[in-house]
Amino acid sequence: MAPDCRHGEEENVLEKMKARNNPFRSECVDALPYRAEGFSWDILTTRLQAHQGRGAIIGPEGHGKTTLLLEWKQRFQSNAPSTCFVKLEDRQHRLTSDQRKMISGSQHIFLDSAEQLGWWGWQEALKLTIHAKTLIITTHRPGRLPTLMECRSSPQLLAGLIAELTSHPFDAEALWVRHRGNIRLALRSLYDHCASS
Amino acid sequence: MNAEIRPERTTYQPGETIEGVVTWSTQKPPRRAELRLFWHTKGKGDRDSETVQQQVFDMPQQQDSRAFVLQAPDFPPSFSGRLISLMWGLELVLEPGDSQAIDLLIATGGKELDLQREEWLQIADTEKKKMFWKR
Amino acid sequence: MGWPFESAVIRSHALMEFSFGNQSGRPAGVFGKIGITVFFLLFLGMGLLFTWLIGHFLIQSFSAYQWKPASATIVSSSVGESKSSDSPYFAEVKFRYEWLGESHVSDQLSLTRQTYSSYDKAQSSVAALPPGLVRTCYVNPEDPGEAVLERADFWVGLFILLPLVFVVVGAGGIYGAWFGKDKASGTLSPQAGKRAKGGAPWVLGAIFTLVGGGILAFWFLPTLARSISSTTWDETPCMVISSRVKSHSDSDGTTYSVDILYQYSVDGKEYKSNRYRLFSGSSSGYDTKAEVVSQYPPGQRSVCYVNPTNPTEVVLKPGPGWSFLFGLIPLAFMGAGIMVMIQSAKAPRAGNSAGLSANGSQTLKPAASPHMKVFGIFLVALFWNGIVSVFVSEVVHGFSRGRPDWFLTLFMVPFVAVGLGLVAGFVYQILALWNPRCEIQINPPVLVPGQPVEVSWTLRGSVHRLQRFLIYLEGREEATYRRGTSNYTDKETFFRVPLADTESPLEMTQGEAKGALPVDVMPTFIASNNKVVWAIKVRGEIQRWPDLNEEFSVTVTGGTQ
Repeated sequence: MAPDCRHGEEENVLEKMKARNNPFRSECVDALPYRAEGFSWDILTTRLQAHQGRGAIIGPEGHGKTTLLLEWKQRFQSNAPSTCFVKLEDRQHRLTSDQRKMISGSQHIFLDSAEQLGWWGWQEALKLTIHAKTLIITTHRPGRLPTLMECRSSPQLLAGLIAELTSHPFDAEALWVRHRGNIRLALRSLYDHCASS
Repeated sequence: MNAEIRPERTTYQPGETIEGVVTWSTQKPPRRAELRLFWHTKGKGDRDSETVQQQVFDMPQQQDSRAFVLQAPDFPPSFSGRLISLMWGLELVLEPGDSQAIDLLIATGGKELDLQREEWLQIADTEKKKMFWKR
Repeated sequence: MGWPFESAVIRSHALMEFSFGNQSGRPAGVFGKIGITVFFLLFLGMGLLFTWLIGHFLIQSFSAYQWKPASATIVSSSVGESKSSDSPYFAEVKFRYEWLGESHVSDQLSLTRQTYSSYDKAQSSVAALPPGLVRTCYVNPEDPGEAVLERADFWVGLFILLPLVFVVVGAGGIYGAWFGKDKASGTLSPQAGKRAKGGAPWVLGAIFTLVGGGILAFWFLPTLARSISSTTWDETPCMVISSRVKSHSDSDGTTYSVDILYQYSVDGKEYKSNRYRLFSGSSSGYDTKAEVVSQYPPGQRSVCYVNPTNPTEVVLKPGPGWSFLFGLIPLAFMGAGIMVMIQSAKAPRAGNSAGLSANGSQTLKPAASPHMKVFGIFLVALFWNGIVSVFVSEVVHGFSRGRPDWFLTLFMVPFVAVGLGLVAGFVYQILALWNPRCEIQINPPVLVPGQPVEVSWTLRGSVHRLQRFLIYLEGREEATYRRGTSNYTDKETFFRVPLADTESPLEMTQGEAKGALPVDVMPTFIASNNKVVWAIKVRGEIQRWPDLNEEFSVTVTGGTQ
């Protein structure tokens, strides 16, 4: 069920902003769909097929890689049940035993933050996924798998996302510059702005 | 799926009985039908949630209407601060298929605890401190 | 220093453990206890065995202290060689002494024969006992034919402490497994079990740190400094007497080392040595050692490097060489030890709570003790500055010779700056040791909104130095969210009410506050990402000195939660 992120805004006009009414609360930010100029699922799917089901979504932090990967996984899941999503933690150089089990038992694997894996960890991941039909990763730099798409952000993109969450006008361009294009960080800072306003 | 959760009211005190009716209409008879009483958080942090009670409806039909009786727990109460809001809810889960949820408020006095109270942050104000503490 | 309300230090909340953390604190079952007992029995058994062996050796070594002194004259002294492969060299000394008018000769230097793997160490020992030297020997009154020149040093007795540590850990572990307090058994003293759990790793960590640090400070760093300075030692002609690859076999397999005995002379005096490099242990890999040995066949003339201040100290190859990296193993030991200690100190131990008193109140204690902070920063500063000092001495040496190494000097600047920062931090923590200590008691131990509560404090130490003293109760929200691959926690204080705010030393020393929390406050609430926590905070302002700054966690209950 999609959260109603606009609901409650008016409630706070005359009083303090409650966490549950903050338009930038985590459930609302996390529920925003991936968007980018010229983005289309068809192009992405064709590229994936051209690379035999293997590829990487690349881009800096906070530019929508994880959002895109999660959405892609949802699309797969409806047709192919044998799907797994593995998220690597900060400085996690090797897969955990649970993650190894999940990967070995799946046909379609979505690996988030693959840049965290060290050389050995990455070789292990490749070995485990050798028979998988799909392996899509997100990473900061190209190189590990053929690049399917590079996530980019823009002030217009940020403005569009803000408009989806609130009717209040914010200077999206200044925010985008201040957070160096990191959309997630920009939206988090708006949470604090609303909470303290 | 067409479903509705109709509790007698949406505000309860801890320990009170939550009564009401759920109705649904689906294309096929659901394999399982269950009503859950749960809390969840909203705010800056990632979501936490926990199902506290559940009522399973036997032999659910394609079109059905069932009464439910649950008890409002003592803890945690519904509250709201700058970073966290805790909300109670009732969720009807029909398998296979979708789910439907409504918000409830469970707190003493039937009022959500408000953490943003100016008088609680006046540390240098000697007058205010007398409100709670006397030495 | 101001009043940092907004930037108040927020620490962990160990007290939450006993309200919510009842899964991890389950007492071990009988099988668990048996497992723990077997584990610690190994410690105890090994400890007792080595205590007996070392004790036996020490009793034998120290028995010469019962013997009587007599005057002895050295007849001859030379380096002897035994068939032992690892430590073949020893000081062979013959001396004459008189006992009850009768003349005797002994060749026993000490009760336990000291052997050396390096020739020059045996040579140094011999050099201290030249023929004709008169000194004291010790005669066995029951058998006057038996006498020694040297008795074991008393500090050798400290070796008994090593196995005794294992005995204590083993016995303590077994005692703790069967008689230690369980977390589940005490209503409000979960810290007893936690302490027993946190104590053993801390002790082990301390042993690792001390052993690693000791080897580092007393062997590795001095040897590294000497091997760096060996590049400036005097180049001296030498002749190879014998050369071979020495093998050392034990349960872990066979390792090899280079063993080249060579002869050289300084000021007309002949010396021998078998030291190849200052860092030259044994390791696996025969071929590399055989290659070195092949370059020094017996009779080969070569050059060695002699320490100008000590002609017995010599190497064939100056400089540390790559094998000095093996010397970094104690560094790893020390690092592992420090990490274990930090982790066990971080673990929510008794931390914020101590036992209940007779009147039902609870004494709270701060999580991190000031002594632990001092000890922690001391170890880090010692380790860092120990390594940096080796290179700094090189820089200083370069300047004193009038040939400064500017690149090394500039390179060392940031490292020295960090070292000085650590020293400053150490001094800061030392100064903070003289701060007054605060003890807080609350009754009842768990706060209930709307119910009366009594908070009393006692401030010990130099209270007169405090210019202002403030105790307050704080409630705050803590929300954790994931940003990329990292977790961040934001904190927001919603309740901050003073219990005491005074500038009078008399009121600071002791006092109490009675009252009740408002009925509509949010009790302590802990979920994975979202928390509401409560704490009593203590602040003391001291001019030109580190401020008093403590936090004591408390639990506010929702009544029947």
